[in-house]
Amino acid sequence: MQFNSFIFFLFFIVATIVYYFVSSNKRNLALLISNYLFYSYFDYRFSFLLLSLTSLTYFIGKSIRKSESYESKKKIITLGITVNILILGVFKYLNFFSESFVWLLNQFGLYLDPLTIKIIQPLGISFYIFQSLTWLFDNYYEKLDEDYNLIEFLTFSSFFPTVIAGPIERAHRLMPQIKSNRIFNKENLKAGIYLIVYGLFRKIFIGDTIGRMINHIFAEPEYFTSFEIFSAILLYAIQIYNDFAGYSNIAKGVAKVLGFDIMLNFRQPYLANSVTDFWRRWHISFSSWLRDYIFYPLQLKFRYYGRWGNLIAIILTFLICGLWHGASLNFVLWGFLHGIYLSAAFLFGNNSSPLSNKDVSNTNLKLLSVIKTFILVTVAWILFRVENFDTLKTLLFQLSIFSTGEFVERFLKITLSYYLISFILDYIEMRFQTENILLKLKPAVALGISIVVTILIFSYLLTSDKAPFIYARF
Amino acid sequence: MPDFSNRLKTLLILLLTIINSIVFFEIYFRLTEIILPSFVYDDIEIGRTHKPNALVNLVGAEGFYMGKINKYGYPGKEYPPQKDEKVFRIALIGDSYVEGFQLFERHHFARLIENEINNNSQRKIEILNFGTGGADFRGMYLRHTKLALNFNPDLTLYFLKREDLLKKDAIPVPEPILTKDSIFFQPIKLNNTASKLRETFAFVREYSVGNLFKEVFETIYTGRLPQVVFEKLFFLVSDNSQMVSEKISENEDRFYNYNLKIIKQLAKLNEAGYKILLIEVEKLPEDYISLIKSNNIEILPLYSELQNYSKYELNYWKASGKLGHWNQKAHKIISKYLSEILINYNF
Repeated sequence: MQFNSFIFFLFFIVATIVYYFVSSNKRNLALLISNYLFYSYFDYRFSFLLLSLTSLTYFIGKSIRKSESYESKKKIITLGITVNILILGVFKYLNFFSESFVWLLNQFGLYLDPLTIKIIQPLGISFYIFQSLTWLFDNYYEKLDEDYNLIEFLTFSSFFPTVIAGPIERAHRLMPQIKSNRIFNKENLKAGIYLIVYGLFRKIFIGDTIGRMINHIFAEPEYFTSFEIFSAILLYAIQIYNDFAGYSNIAKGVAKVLGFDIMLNFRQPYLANSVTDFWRRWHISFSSWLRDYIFYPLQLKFRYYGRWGNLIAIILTFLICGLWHGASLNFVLWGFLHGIYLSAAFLFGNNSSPLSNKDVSNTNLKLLSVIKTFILVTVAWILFRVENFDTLKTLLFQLSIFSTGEFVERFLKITLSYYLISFILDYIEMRFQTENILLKLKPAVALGISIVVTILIFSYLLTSDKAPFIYARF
Repeated sequence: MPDFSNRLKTLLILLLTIINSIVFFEIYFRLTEIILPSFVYDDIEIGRTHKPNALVNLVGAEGFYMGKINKYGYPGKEYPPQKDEKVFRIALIGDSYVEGFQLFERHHFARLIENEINNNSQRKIEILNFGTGGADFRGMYLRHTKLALNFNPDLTLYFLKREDLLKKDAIPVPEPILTKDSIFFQPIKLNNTASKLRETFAFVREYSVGNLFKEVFETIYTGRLPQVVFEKLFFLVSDNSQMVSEKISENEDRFYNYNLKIIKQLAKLNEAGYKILLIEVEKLPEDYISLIKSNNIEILPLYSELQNYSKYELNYWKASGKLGHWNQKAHKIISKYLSEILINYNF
């Protein structure tokens, strides 16, 4: 069930009541059952994979914890990572690698049929595997002070607010909260509901409504003018941000109601003044995961190559980042392009190059840096959004003919309105230093806004097809 | 007392916030065109009718339409009632397939035909689109006689499907009354609950927020609410396809008499010089075909032409992967087919 569905809200209300109704020592079990009910609603068969893989990961983690020698710890963690990545590879990447390999052979005149197997990708597999891997890493790096039982770990790895699309939590952050005694708290309930309402607004009244329009433009760009395509590209940047940030707010809100604090996933990414800064603000749970568990080890490995070692580490990290999003060349190229942006920033350092990381204090220059960063990121989003290279070719061709069409004013009005609302929300978040901006308002004002937003969102959901969360397919 | 005044103050702030929030959303919906005020209204003589000068932005699984109802009350390119004598004017009558609110007007077959003939022949034509979503044969006839004829068309194209021969709308439409030789339509009666409610709350559709609430009301009123709320778990829904097909055959007999009279009225218009061509979007029942032919009205089997292109998936919408109305390819094929016929038509 999706967060933007009535069935989810019914489930959430019942699950929360049961969760607080049972005695505190049964609370994790109640949560675990809710997690699996939630996950099985999509397809019950995937629950078996989730259960078996995470159970295995739990025992591997326990073995790491028990091992005394560094060598055996290293062997066990390698085994744990290999098992998880293999499973991820089979379910997500087998066809991609098989087809890519055959394509490569074809370039050398060797013709083979690719081995393609009809595999359905289990929902949220990239998220829960990456989250489970932190259990292995945190045991390996001895970041976990306490011992955890199987139920606690299974609750962590299938935690329903985050299992579909994150935020990717760390074992050392979430597991102590799972172990702790959580009691019903009115403040948590209020904060959680406000975050959910805010997230739904971002998701439904910004992300979804943009998506409904531009999906048609990206699907068949040949029927649209350059201006309409240009607007769609600009709007996609706003769509993907609000879709995912909205999702993250809802996830945080749901977790808050249950008594958990999960990590921040977005911090006004389009106000970043460099691409490096953008990655400190975008999908933070994932970008920091990559930094901690991929980039730093790679940097360490290539430390003898000096600057080139860093560049290799950056490019490899972003290739993995692209591939994580999907088994498709466009995601790899998107990751590679970001790798290039960051490598250039690293090379140019603090000089005046447009790709530099230079932090400026002058307001005008700062604004220019923000715009420059936004343009670079938006250009990369084109690769992320197109479904294949034929579509990309058509899209670029249509863009190149500079046609305007009869709806310039209307597209301009729509695009500017979405930009305005998205940036105003970001500005308020930045000003108040919180993503839960309703909590910063007078209680009566926050309540009034929440009532209207909730009624309008539910009305909209009743009368239109609900759109899936973009990141839920990764 | 201070406690009471504080509560009153809080209540006032709450009310003001609610009002301000609604105003904010009204503006936001209009600017972003998420929901616009309704572009149709219930005309007591025609039924569902396009509202002059209304903006339209429809996006859904099937496609994306952005446009405007012109000041004369039909969608798209604007032609005044008076026409140049050298111009051959064509009126299109039909339902949502002709209305074409799934694609931009520049891809609609009406515009493609116009461009094709005006650019590649000596002839000058104008095509006015009177298609209306949800219209049945009766609604089409009303739109033709009460609206399209005011624009002096030289030729009227009726696009018909089998289901159009039945009463297919839940919305109020003037009721037909049969006389010995003819058919009349009684203005929409407001004596049932649904009609009264629609009339009483018609003003809410003038607002984006109100239009959204109207959609909610219709979802509840038509009994779709439990299905939307419970999704997969709404397994109590029974297969009612058989019921529907029984209803169709039962209604067919009832409506045959009405349709017979409408065809006779069309034949009279045809004889009076308001030429009419019936276009079969789907194959019509044989008894209708012979009835239409016996009244000297020409029929074009568009469906058989479209069948030749079935490999192009003319109802497939790529963005959603769903089937629905004609897509851009279909409109192109229809325009090619009708352009050839119209170029050779005895103007």
